[in-house]
Amino acid sequence: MTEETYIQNTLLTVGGGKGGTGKSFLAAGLAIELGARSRNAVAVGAVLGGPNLPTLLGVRENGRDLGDFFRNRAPRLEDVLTETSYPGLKLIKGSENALFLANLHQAKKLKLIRQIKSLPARNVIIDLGTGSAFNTLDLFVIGQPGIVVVTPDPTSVENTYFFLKSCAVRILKLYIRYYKIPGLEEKIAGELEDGVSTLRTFLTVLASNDGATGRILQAALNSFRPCLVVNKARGDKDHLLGRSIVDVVRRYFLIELELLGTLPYDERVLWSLKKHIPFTREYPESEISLRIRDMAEKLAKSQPGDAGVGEAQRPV
Amino acid sequence: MVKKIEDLDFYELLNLGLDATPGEIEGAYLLAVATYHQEAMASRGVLSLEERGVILRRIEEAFETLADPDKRKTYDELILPQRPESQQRAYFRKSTEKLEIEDATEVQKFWARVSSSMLPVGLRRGRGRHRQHKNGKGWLNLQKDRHYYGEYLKSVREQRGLTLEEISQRAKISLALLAALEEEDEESLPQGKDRVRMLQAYARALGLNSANGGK
Repeated sequence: MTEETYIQNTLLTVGGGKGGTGKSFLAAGLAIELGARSRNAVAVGAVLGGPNLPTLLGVRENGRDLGDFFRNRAPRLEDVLTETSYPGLKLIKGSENALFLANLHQAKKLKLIRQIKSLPARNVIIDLGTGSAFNTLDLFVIGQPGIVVVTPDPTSVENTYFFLKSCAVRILKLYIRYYKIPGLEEKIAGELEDGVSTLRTFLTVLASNDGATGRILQAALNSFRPCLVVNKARGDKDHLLGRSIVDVVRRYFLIELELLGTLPYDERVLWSLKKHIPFTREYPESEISLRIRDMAEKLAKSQPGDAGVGEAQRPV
Repeated sequence: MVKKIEDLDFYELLNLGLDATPGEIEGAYLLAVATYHQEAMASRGVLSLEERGVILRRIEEAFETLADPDKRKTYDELILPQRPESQQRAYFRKSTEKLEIEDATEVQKFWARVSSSMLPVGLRRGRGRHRQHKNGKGWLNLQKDRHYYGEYLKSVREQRGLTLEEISQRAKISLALLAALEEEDEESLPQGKDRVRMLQAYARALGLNSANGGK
Protein backbone atom coordinates (compact mmCIF):
# COMPACT_ATOMS: atom_id res chain seq x y z
CA MET A 1 0.00 0.00 0.00
CA THR A 2 1.64 3.20 -1.09
CA GLU A 3 1.38 6.20 1.16
CA GLU A 4 1.41 9.58 -0.45
CA THR A 5 4.33 11.55 0.83
CA TYR A 6 2.98 14.81 2.11
CA ILE A 7 5.43 17.33 3.35
CA GLN A 8 4.46 18.29 6.84
CA ASN A 9 5.57 21.73 7.83
CA THR A 10 5.46 21.17 11.57
CA LEU A 11 5.11 18.16 13.81
CA LEU A 12 4.71 19.34 17.37
CA THR A 13 4.57 17.16 20.42
CA VAL A 14 3.51 18.66 23.71
CA GLY A 15 4.48 16.82 26.87
CA GLY A 16 6.23 17.07 30.19
CA GLY A 17 5.73 15.37 33.50
CA LYS A 18 3.13 16.97 35.67
CA GLY A 19 -0.61 17.38 35.20
CA GLY A 20 -2.35 20.72 35.25
CA THR A 21 0.45 22.70 33.68
CA GLY A 22 -1.58 23.55 30.63
CA LYS A 23 -0.26 21.14 28.03
CA SER A 24 -3.64 20.46 26.49
CA PHE A 25 -4.49 24.13 26.67
CA LEU A 26 -1.32 25.03 24.81
CA ALA A 27 -1.66 22.20 22.32
CA ALA A 28 -5.21 23.30 21.54
CA GLY A 29 -4.19 26.94 21.23
CA LEU A 30 -1.33 26.17 18.87
CA ALA A 31 -3.47 23.78 16.85
CA ILE A 32 -6.15 26.43 16.39
CA GLU A 33 -3.64 29.06 15.30
CA LEU A 34 -1.80 26.77 12.94
CA GLY A 35 -5.09 25.52 11.49
CA ALA A 36 -6.16 29.09 10.85
CA ARG A 37 -2.94 29.79 8.97
CA SER A 38 -2.54 26.65 6.92
CA ARG A 39 -6.13 25.46 6.73
CA ASN A 40 -4.77 21.96 7.11
CA ALA A 41 -3.85 21.04 10.65
CA VAL A 42 -4.45 17.90 12.66
CA ALA A 43 -4.45 17.73 16.43
CA VAL A 44 -3.88 14.38 18.05
CA GLY A 45 -4.98 13.76 21.59
CA ALA A 46 -2.94 10.82 22.73
CA VAL A 47 -4.64 10.67 26.07
CA LEU A 48 -7.94 11.47 27.72
CA GLY A 49 -8.62 12.93 31.10
CA GLY A 50 -8.87 16.49 32.37
CA PRO A 51 -9.66 19.47 30.16
CA ASN A 52 -8.74 17.49 27.13
CA LEU A 53 -8.42 18.20 23.49
CA PRO A 54 -11.93 17.24 22.36
CA THR A 55 -13.46 19.55 24.94
CA LEU A 56 -11.10 22.37 24.15
CA LEU A 57 -11.77 22.10 20.45
CA GLY A 58 -15.51 21.79 20.70
CA VAL A 59 -15.80 18.15 19.67
CA ARG A 60 -18.37 15.74 20.97
CA GLU A 61 -17.26 12.75 23.00
CA ASN A 62 -18.63 10.02 20.74
CA GLY A 63 -16.98 9.24 17.49
CA ARG A 64 -13.98 7.24 16.43
CA ASP A 65 -10.70 7.43 18.27
CA LEU A 66 -7.22 6.00 18.42
CA GLY A 67 -8.56 2.89 20.08
CA ASP A 68 -10.40 2.06 16.88
CA PHE A 69 -7.22 2.55 14.91
CA PHE A 70 -5.34 0.10 17.06
CA ARG A 71 -8.05 -2.47 17.23
CA ASN A 72 -7.87 -2.53 13.46
CA ARG A 73 -11.36 -1.26 13.00
CA ALA A 74 -9.85 1.60 11.08
CA PRO A 75 -6.93 0.77 8.83
CA ARG A 76 -5.43 4.25 8.55
CA LEU A 77 -5.05 7.15 10.90
CA GLU A 78 -6.93 9.41 8.51
CA ASP A 79 -10.00 7.25 8.97
CA VAL A 80 -10.43 8.40 12.55
CA LEU A 81 -10.24 12.12 11.83
CA THR A 82 -13.02 14.22 13.34
CA GLU A 83 -14.10 17.72 12.44
CA THR A 84 -13.72 20.44 15.02
CA SER A 85 -15.51 23.74 15.30
CA TYR A 86 -12.40 25.39 13.88
CA PRO A 87 -11.90 25.77 10.18
CA GLY A 88 -8.80 24.02 8.91
CA LEU A 89 -8.38 21.92 12.03
CA LYS A 90 -9.23 18.26 12.44
CA LEU A 91 -8.84 16.07 15.49
CA ILE A 92 -7.79 12.52 16.24
CA LYS A 93 -9.13 11.63 19.63
CA GLY A 94 -7.27 9.61 22.20
CA SER A 95 -8.62 6.35 23.45
CA GLU A 96 -10.95 6.13 26.46
CA ASN A 97 -8.48 3.77 28.02
CA ALA A 98 -6.24 6.14 29.92
CA LEU A 99 -3.40 3.65 29.99
CA PHE A 100 -3.53 2.72 26.36
CA LEU A 101 -0.49 4.73 25.44
CA ALA A 102 1.62 3.30 28.22
CA ASN A 103 0.70 -0.25 27.27
CA LEU A 104 1.22 0.07 23.56
CA HIS A 105 3.33 -2.66 22.05
CA GLN A 106 6.45 -1.81 20.10
CA ALA A 107 5.00 -2.77 16.73
CA LYS A 108 1.85 -0.73 17.20
CA LYS A 109 3.82 2.22 18.48
CA LEU A 110 6.01 2.15 15.38
CA LYS A 111 2.92 1.90 13.21
CA LEU A 112 1.47 4.92 14.95
CA ILE A 113 4.66 6.91 14.49
CA ARG A 114 4.90 5.98 10.82
CA GLN A 115 1.36 7.01 10.15
CA ILE A 116 1.63 10.22 12.11
CA LYS A 117 4.59 11.23 10.00
CA SER A 118 2.69 10.55 6.82
CA LEU A 119 -0.54 12.28 7.77
CA PRO A 120 -1.65 14.48 4.87
CA ALA A 121 -1.55 17.68 6.89
CA ARG A 122 0.64 20.75 6.96
CA ASN A 123 0.73 20.88 10.74
CA VAL A 124 0.39 18.07 13.24
CA ILE A 125 0.08 18.78 16.94
CA ILE A 126 0.16 15.91 19.42
CA ASP A 127 -0.92 16.33 23.01
CA LEU A 128 0.88 13.63 24.96
CA GLY A 129 -0.60 14.35 28.36
CA THR A 130 1.18 13.63 31.59
CA GLY A 131 3.73 11.02 32.48
CA SER A 132 7.12 9.79 31.37
CA ALA A 133 6.33 6.28 30.24
CA PHE A 134 8.69 5.00 27.57
CA ASN A 135 6.08 5.24 24.86
CA THR A 136 5.33 8.82 25.82
CA LEU A 137 9.01 9.66 25.60
CA ASP A 138 9.35 7.92 22.25
CA LEU A 139 6.48 9.94 20.87
CA PHE A 140 7.81 13.12 22.40
CA VAL A 141 11.18 12.91 20.69
CA ILE A 142 9.70 12.68 17.19
CA GLY A 143 8.52 16.25 17.65
CA GLN A 144 10.03 19.03 15.60
CA PRO A 145 10.24 20.37 18.20
CA GLY A 146 8.88 18.69 21.25
CA ILE A 147 7.49 21.24 23.68
CA VAL A 148 7.54 20.89 27.46
CA VAL A 149 5.25 23.03 29.55
CA VAL A 150 6.24 24.09 33.06
CA THR A 151 4.59 26.21 35.72
CA PRO A 152 6.55 28.32 38.21
CA ASP A 153 6.40 25.95 41.15
CA PRO A 154 9.06 23.60 42.44
CA THR A 155 7.21 20.36 41.73
CA SER A 156 6.55 21.28 38.15
CA VAL A 157 10.17 22.27 37.59
CA GLU A 158 11.36 19.04 39.16
CA ASN A 159 9.00 17.02 36.99
CA THR A 160 10.14 18.82 33.87
CA TYR A 161 13.76 18.06 34.63
CA PHE A 162 12.88 14.45 35.26
CA PHE A 163 11.03 14.30 31.96
CA LEU A 164 13.84 15.85 29.95
CA LYS A 165 16.46 13.73 31.65
CA SER A 166 14.41 10.63 30.91
CA CYS A 167 14.21 11.63 27.24
CA ALA A 168 17.95 12.12 27.12
CA VAL A 169 18.67 8.80 28.81
CA ARG A 170 16.25 7.09 26.45
CA ILE A 171 18.05 8.55 23.44
CA LEU A 172 21.45 7.63 24.85
CA LYS A 173 20.32 4.07 25.40
CA LEU A 174 19.10 3.77 21.84
CA TYR A 175 22.47 4.96 20.59
CA ILE A 176 24.31 2.61 22.92
CA ARG A 177 22.32 -0.34 21.67
CA TYR A 178 22.75 0.67 18.07
CA TYR A 179 26.51 1.11 18.39
CA LYS A 180 26.72 -1.94 20.64
CA ILE A 181 28.82 -0.26 23.29
CA PRO A 182 29.32 -2.83 26.03
CA GLY A 183 28.69 -2.20 29.67
CA LEU A 184 27.44 1.33 29.21
CA GLU A 185 23.79 0.55 29.64
CA GLU A 186 24.34 -0.77 33.15
CA LYS A 187 26.49 2.23 33.93
CA ILE A 188 23.75 4.58 32.85
CA ALA A 189 21.18 2.70 34.88
CA GLY A 190 23.39 2.91 37.92
CA GLU A 191 24.56 6.49 37.73
CA LEU A 192 21.96 8.46 35.86
CA GLU A 193 18.67 6.85 36.59
CA ASP A 194 19.23 6.82 40.31
CA GLY A 195 19.84 10.54 40.08
CA VAL A 196 23.33 10.30 41.44
CA SER A 197 25.13 12.41 38.91
CA THR A 198 24.06 14.94 36.36
CA LEU A 199 24.36 14.19 32.68
CA ARG A 200 27.19 16.65 32.45
CA THR A 201 29.24 14.90 35.11
CA PHE A 202 28.48 11.54 33.58
CA LEU A 203 29.54 12.59 30.09
CA THR A 204 32.66 14.48 31.23
CA VAL A 205 33.89 11.43 33.10
CA LEU A 206 32.99 9.19 30.18
CA ALA A 207 34.69 11.46 27.67
CA SER A 208 37.90 11.52 29.67
CA ASN A 209 37.97 7.73 29.80
CA ASP A 210 36.72 7.00 26.31
CA GLY A 211 36.69 9.92 23.91
CA ALA A 212 35.03 8.13 21.02
CA THR A 213 32.03 7.00 23.02
CA GLY A 214 31.79 10.42 24.57
CA ARG A 215 31.59 11.99 21.13
CA ILE A 216 28.91 9.60 19.94
CA LEU A 217 26.74 10.28 22.94
CA GLN A 218 27.35 14.00 22.70
CA ALA A 219 26.19 13.88 19.08
CA ALA A 220 23.12 11.95 20.18
CA LEU A 221 22.20 14.70 22.60
CA ASN A 222 22.93 17.46 20.12
CA SER A 223 20.11 16.21 17.95
CA PHE A 224 17.55 16.54 20.72
CA ARG A 225 16.26 20.12 20.71
CA PRO A 226 13.07 20.58 22.70
CA CYS A 227 11.36 23.87 23.46
CA LEU A 228 10.06 25.22 26.74
CA VAL A 229 6.91 27.14 27.56
CA VAL A 230 6.42 28.63 31.00
CA ASN A 231 2.73 28.80 31.81
CA LYS A 232 0.79 30.67 34.50
CA ALA A 233 3.59 33.12 35.15
CA ARG A 234 2.97 35.86 37.69
CA GLY A 235 5.42 38.67 38.22
CA ASP A 236 8.93 39.32 36.97
CA LYS A 237 10.54 36.43 38.80
CA ASP A 238 8.36 33.92 37.01
CA HIS A 239 9.12 35.51 33.69
CA LEU A 240 12.82 35.04 34.26
CA LEU A 241 12.34 31.45 35.28
CA GLY A 242 12.25 30.27 31.66
CA ARG A 243 15.70 31.60 31.00
CA SER A 244 17.03 30.07 34.20
CA ILE A 245 15.63 26.68 33.33
CA VAL A 246 17.10 26.84 29.85
CA ASP A 247 20.51 27.61 31.34
CA VAL A 248 20.39 24.78 33.85
CA VAL A 249 19.23 22.28 31.24
CA ARG A 250 21.91 23.33 28.79
CA ARG A 251 24.69 23.26 31.36
CA TYR A 252 23.86 20.21 33.40
CA PHE A 253 21.71 18.07 31.15
CA LEU A 254 23.56 18.99 27.96
CA ILE A 255 20.23 19.40 26.18
CA GLU A 256 19.70 22.33 23.84
CA LEU A 257 16.47 23.62 25.30
CA GLU A 258 15.01 26.73 23.70
CA LEU A 259 12.59 29.07 25.41
CA LEU A 260 9.56 29.33 23.15
CA GLY A 261 7.63 31.75 25.34
CA THR A 262 6.04 32.58 28.66
CA LEU A 263 2.29 32.74 29.21
CA PRO A 264 0.97 34.92 32.01
CA TYR A 265 -1.52 33.66 34.54
CA ASP A 266 -5.06 34.65 33.63
CA GLU A 267 -8.12 33.79 35.75
CA ARG A 268 -10.35 33.94 32.74
CA VAL A 269 -8.81 30.74 31.40
CA LEU A 270 -10.55 28.83 34.16
CA TRP A 271 -13.87 30.55 33.46
CA SER A 272 -13.67 29.62 29.80
CA LEU A 273 -12.86 26.04 30.69
CA LYS A 274 -15.89 25.83 32.94
CA LYS A 275 -18.07 27.22 30.23
CA HIS A 276 -16.55 24.84 27.69
CA ILE A 277 -15.71 27.74 25.44
CA PRO A 278 -12.16 27.86 24.11
CA PHE A 279 -10.32 30.75 25.72
CA THR A 280 -8.62 31.96 22.55
CA ARG A 281 -11.98 32.30 20.90
CA GLU A 282 -13.55 34.17 23.80
CA TYR A 283 -10.61 36.50 24.45
CA PRO A 284 -8.70 36.68 21.20
CA GLU A 285 -6.91 39.90 22.11
CA SER A 286 -5.72 38.78 25.52
CA GLU A 287 -2.02 38.55 26.26
CA ILE A 288 -2.19 34.76 26.27
CA SER A 289 -3.89 34.57 22.90
CA LEU A 290 -1.44 36.99 21.35
CA ARG A 291 1.54 35.10 22.67
CA ILE A 292 0.22 31.78 21.47
CA ARG A 293 -0.21 33.34 18.06
CA ASP A 294 3.42 34.50 18.15
CA MET A 295 4.57 31.03 19.13
CA ALA A 296 2.60 29.44 16.33
CA GLU A 297 4.13 31.82 13.83
CA LYS A 298 7.62 31.16 15.10
CA LEU A 299 7.08 27.42 14.88
CA ALA A 300 5.53 27.55 11.44
CA LYS A 301 8.34 29.66 10.02
CA SER A 302 11.32 27.63 11.15
CA GLN A 303 12.26 24.54 9.23
CA PRO A 304 13.69 21.35 10.69
CA GLY A 305 17.37 21.81 11.21
CA ASP A 306 17.12 25.48 12.07
CA ALA A 307 18.76 26.50 15.28
CA GLY A 308 16.36 25.63 17.99
CA VAL A 309 13.76 23.72 16.13
CA GLY A 310 14.90 20.32 15.06
CA GLU A 311 14.06 16.66 15.18
CA ALA A 312 15.91 14.09 17.16
CA GLN A 313 17.74 12.07 14.56
CA ARG A 314 18.23 8.71 15.97
CA PRO A 315 18.37 5.11 14.87
CA VAL A 316 14.99 3.69 15.67
CA MET B 1 33.95 18.06 23.93
CA VAL B 2 32.18 18.74 27.16
CA LYS B 3 34.17 21.19 29.19
CA LYS B 4 34.18 21.27 32.94
CA ILE B 5 32.35 24.23 34.42
CA GLU B 6 35.67 25.52 35.69
CA ASP B 7 37.07 25.45 32.18
CA LEU B 8 34.38 27.52 30.56
CA ASP B 9 35.63 31.01 29.97
CA PHE B 10 33.74 33.86 31.61
CA TYR B 11 31.86 34.79 28.47
CA GLU B 12 30.72 31.23 27.87
CA LEU B 13 29.72 30.91 31.50
CA LEU B 14 27.47 33.95 31.40
CA ASN B 15 26.25 33.35 27.85
CA LEU B 16 27.75 36.60 26.66
CA GLY B 17 29.33 37.64 23.41
CA LEU B 18 32.82 39.05 23.47
CA ASP B 19 31.35 42.46 22.72
CA ALA B 20 28.95 42.47 25.66
CA THR B 21 28.10 45.86 27.10
CA PRO B 22 28.35 46.57 30.83
CA GLY B 23 24.57 46.48 31.01
CA GLU B 24 24.46 43.06 29.42
CA ILE B 25 27.17 41.80 31.73
CA GLU B 26 25.31 42.94 34.79
CA GLY B 27 22.06 41.44 33.53
CA ALA B 28 23.75 38.15 32.80
CA TYR B 29 25.35 38.11 36.22
CA LEU B 30 22.05 38.74 38.00
CA LEU B 31 20.34 36.05 35.97
CA ALA B 32 23.12 33.59 36.72
CA VAL B 33 22.92 34.25 40.43
CA ALA B 34 19.13 33.98 40.34
CA THR B 35 19.51 30.63 38.60
CA TYR B 36 22.10 29.03 40.82
CA HIS B 37 21.83 30.46 44.30
CA GLN B 38 21.00 28.16 47.18
CA GLU B 39 17.25 28.64 47.17
CA ALA B 40 16.74 28.97 43.44
CA MET B 41 13.86 26.98 42.03
CA ALA B 42 15.52 26.47 38.70
CA SER B 43 18.49 24.59 40.10
CA ARG B 44 17.01 22.91 43.13
CA GLY B 45 17.85 19.25 43.32
CA VAL B 46 19.96 19.39 40.18
CA LEU B 47 23.38 20.29 41.47
CA SER B 48 25.34 18.71 44.26
CA LEU B 49 26.55 21.04 46.96
CA GLU B 50 29.98 20.91 45.45
CA GLU B 51 28.81 21.65 41.92
CA ARG B 52 26.79 24.60 43.18
CA GLY B 53 29.79 25.95 45.03
CA VAL B 54 31.92 25.64 41.92
CA ILE B 55 29.55 27.47 39.64
CA LEU B 56 28.69 30.22 42.09
CA ARG B 57 32.37 30.92 42.69
CA ARG B 58 32.98 31.00 38.98
CA ILE B 59 30.07 33.37 38.42
CA GLU B 60 31.49 35.78 40.99
CA GLU B 61 34.92 35.58 39.41
CA ALA B 62 33.42 36.21 36.02
CA PHE B 63 31.52 39.27 37.08
CA GLU B 64 34.43 40.65 39.03
CA THR B 65 36.68 40.36 35.98
CA LEU B 66 34.32 41.45 33.25
CA ALA B 67 32.81 44.36 35.14
CA ASP B 68 36.20 46.01 35.57
CA PRO B 69 37.40 47.40 32.22
CA ASP B 70 41.10 46.87 32.95
CA LYS B 71 40.71 43.36 34.23
CA ARG B 72 38.47 42.59 31.30
CA LYS B 73 41.04 43.80 28.83
CA THR B 74 43.74 41.60 30.32
CA TYR B 75 41.38 38.67 30.41
CA ASP B 76 40.33 39.16 26.80
CA GLU B 77 43.92 38.99 25.68
CA LEU B 78 44.36 35.73 27.46
CA ILE B 79 41.35 33.92 26.13
CA LEU B 80 41.10 35.39 22.66
CA PRO B 81 43.67 33.01 21.14
CA GLN B 82 41.68 30.05 22.35
CA ARG B 83 38.50 31.23 20.76
CA PRO B 84 37.55 29.71 17.41
CA GLU B 85 36.91 33.21 16.02
CA SER B 86 40.53 34.12 16.31
CA GLN B 87 42.05 31.04 14.77
CA GLN B 88 43.54 32.33 11.59
CA ARG B 89 45.14 30.32 8.91
CA ALA B 90 48.89 30.69 8.68
CA TYR B 91 50.27 32.98 6.03
CA PHE B 92 52.25 31.26 3.37
CA ARG B 93 55.81 31.76 4.35
CA LYS B 94 58.47 32.16 1.75
CA SER B 95 61.25 31.99 4.24
CA THR B 96 61.23 29.34 6.91
CA GLU B 97 64.11 30.83 8.81
CA LYS B 98 62.35 32.69 11.52
CA LEU B 99 59.52 31.34 13.58
CA GLU B 100 58.21 34.65 14.78
CA ILE B 101 54.45 34.96 14.48
CA GLU B 102 53.95 38.58 13.65
CA ASP B 103 50.33 39.01 14.48
CA ALA B 104 50.03 36.80 17.50
CA THR B 105 49.41 38.09 20.97
CA GLU B 106 52.18 38.08 23.50
CA VAL B 107 51.07 34.85 25.07
CA GLN B 108 50.94 33.05 21.73
CA LYS B 109 54.38 34.30 20.78
CA PHE B 110 55.71 33.22 24.11
CA TRP B 111 54.61 29.63 23.73
CA ALA B 112 55.63 29.58 20.11
CA ARG B 113 59.10 30.61 21.11
CA VAL B 114 59.26 28.05 23.82
CA SER B 115 58.03 25.22 21.68
CA SER B 116 60.21 26.13 18.77
CA SER B 117 63.30 26.00 20.87
CA MET B 118 62.34 23.12 23.10
CA LEU B 119 60.57 20.43 21.21
CA PRO B 120 61.67 18.15 18.42
CA VAL B 121 60.38 19.14 15.01
CA GLY B 122 57.58 16.62 14.87
CA LEU B 123 55.86 17.83 18.00
CA ARG B 124 55.80 21.44 17.09
CA ARG B 125 52.33 22.85 16.54
CA GLY B 126 51.08 24.96 13.67
CA ARG B 127 53.61 26.91 11.76
CA GLY B 128 57.03 25.45 11.30
CA ARG B 129 55.82 21.90 11.06
CA HIS B 130 56.93 21.72 7.50
CA ARG B 131 60.52 22.31 8.49
CA GLN B 132 62.90 19.58 7.61
CA HIS B 133 65.47 20.49 10.23
CA LYS B 134 66.58 17.84 12.56
CA ASN B 135 69.27 18.33 15.14
CA GLY B 136 72.27 19.89 13.61
CA LYS B 137 73.17 23.07 11.91
CA GLY B 138 69.62 24.24 11.26
CA TRP B 139 68.74 23.72 14.87
CA LEU B 140 71.61 25.87 15.99
CA ASN B 141 70.59 28.62 13.62
CA LEU B 142 67.17 28.39 15.09
CA GLN B 143 68.53 28.88 18.54
CA LYS B 144 70.22 32.04 17.45
CA ASP B 145 67.06 33.51 16.03
CA ARG B 146 64.75 32.76 18.85
CA HIS B 147 63.63 35.45 21.18
CA TYR B 148 64.11 35.14 24.82
CA TYR B 149 61.18 34.07 26.90
CA GLY B 150 62.78 34.69 30.25
CA GLU B 151 62.52 38.39 29.68
CA TYR B 152 58.86 38.11 28.89
CA LEU B 153 58.08 36.07 31.97
CA LYS B 154 60.01 38.49 34.11
CA SER B 155 58.11 41.46 32.71
CA VAL B 156 54.73 39.83 33.31
CA ARG B 157 55.80 38.90 36.81
CA GLU B 158 56.83 42.45 37.59
CA GLN B 159 53.67 43.82 36.06
CA ARG B 160 51.67 41.73 38.45
CA GLY B 161 53.80 42.81 41.35
CA LEU B 162 54.96 39.31 42.23
CA THR B 163 58.33 38.40 43.64
CA LEU B 164 60.44 35.42 42.69
CA GLU B 165 59.80 33.99 46.14
CA GLU B 166 56.07 34.04 45.64
CA ILE B 167 56.33 32.37 42.27
CA SER B 168 58.74 29.86 43.71
CA GLN B 169 56.15 28.88 46.27
CA ARG B 170 53.22 28.79 43.87
CA ALA B 171 54.94 26.93 41.09
CA LYS B 172 57.02 24.77 43.41
CA ILE B 173 60.26 25.58 41.62
CA SER B 174 63.46 26.47 43.45
CA LEU B 175 64.49 30.11 43.48
CA ALA B 176 67.74 29.31 41.74
CA LEU B 177 66.01 27.59 38.85
CA LEU B 178 63.50 30.41 38.53
CA ALA B 179 66.26 32.96 38.34
CA ALA B 180 67.98 30.82 35.75
CA LEU B 181 64.76 30.73 33.71
CA GLU B 182 64.45 34.45 33.72
CA GLU B 183 68.07 34.90 32.78
CA GLU B 184 67.89 32.01 30.34
CA ASP B 185 70.96 30.49 31.79
CA GLU B 186 71.19 27.49 29.49
CA GLU B 187 73.72 25.56 31.53
CA SER B 188 71.71 25.51 34.74
CA LEU B 189 68.40 24.63 33.13
CA PRO B 190 67.12 21.16 32.28
CA GLN B 191 66.39 20.41 28.66
CA GLY B 192 63.34 19.41 26.72
CA LYS B 193 60.20 18.30 28.53
CA ASP B 194 61.42 19.24 31.98
CA ARG B 195 62.04 22.76 30.96
CA VAL B 196 58.68 23.05 29.27
CA ARG B 197 57.04 21.73 32.38
CA MET B 198 58.82 24.32 34.46
CA LEU B 199 57.76 27.06 32.10
CA GLN B 200 54.18 25.84 32.25
CA ALA B 201 54.23 25.87 36.02
CA TYR B 202 55.71 29.34 36.04
CA ALA B 203 53.16 30.59 33.57
CA ARG B 204 50.33 29.08 35.52
CA ALA B 205 51.62 30.64 38.70
CA LEU B 206 51.58 33.97 36.92
CA GLY B 207 48.02 33.40 35.86
CA LEU B 208 48.84 32.90 32.21
CA ASN B 209 46.75 30.00 31.02
CA SER B 210 48.82 27.84 28.76
CA ALA B 211 47.51 28.76 25.36
CA ASN B 212 47.97 26.55 22.38
CA GLY B 213 51.63 25.90 22.74
CA GLY B 214 53.72 24.18 25.27
CA LYS B 215 52.90 20.56 25.56
